[in-house]
Amino acid sequence: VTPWIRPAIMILALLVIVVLLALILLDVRAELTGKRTIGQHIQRWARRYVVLSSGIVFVLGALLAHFFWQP
Amino acid sequence: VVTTRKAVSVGGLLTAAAVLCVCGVSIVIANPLLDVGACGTNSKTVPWPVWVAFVTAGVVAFGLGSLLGHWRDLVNEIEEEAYPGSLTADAGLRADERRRRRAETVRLFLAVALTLLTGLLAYETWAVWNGSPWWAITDFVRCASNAAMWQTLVASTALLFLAGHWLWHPKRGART
Repeated sequence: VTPWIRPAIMILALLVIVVLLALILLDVRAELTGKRTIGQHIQRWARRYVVLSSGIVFVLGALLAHFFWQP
Repeated sequence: VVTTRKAVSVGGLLTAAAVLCVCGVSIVIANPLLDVGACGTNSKTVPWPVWVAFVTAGVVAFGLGSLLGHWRDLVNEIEEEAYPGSLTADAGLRADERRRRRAETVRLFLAVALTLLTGLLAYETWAVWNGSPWWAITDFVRCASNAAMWQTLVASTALLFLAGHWLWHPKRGART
């Protein structure tokens, strides 16, 4: 087993977690200060571009099915 | 004013943040002990019935995120969009400028995110198609899901929760 696998997994996992945490905290801050949240910005965009946002959901679903389901 | 909807929304987000923190700490602590023997190019998926848990948790999280998005408090969004009747011309111009800057920021964020996603998908396609000497993204994800199963489950579930929350929602008129 190559020696860089464990650190690579840790760095990738922490990167995903840190990005999600940052988005959540910015969302909470905006919610508490009465400003429009990141979620609302993206929702507004998704409302306007329904086909594009549906496409992203489709790609995300296909990717996760490929990662965890496809042999 | 803290409404019930706002409290539920903030509570849900903070709970998700706490779970992600636990995941991060456990990844760091357990990292030297991870069994990465099954990792490599063309690595296998998680075994039955674990993959059912991944798929089911993802679909349920997407549905829950969507439901929470339907129920979310929209007062701050509506207040931001409304022009108060007493607004002066100067204040109106400043409000327009703020909206223009905000729209540009959102467009920039989306352009960067979609470009990044396209690049990653292109790399993934190339690596899977050609049998690249470098690992495909699939290999990293499958390695993580085999070596750190529950942390990967939580992370993928959280991603789908956010996707359902942000990208799948009714028209505003249906919920206000």
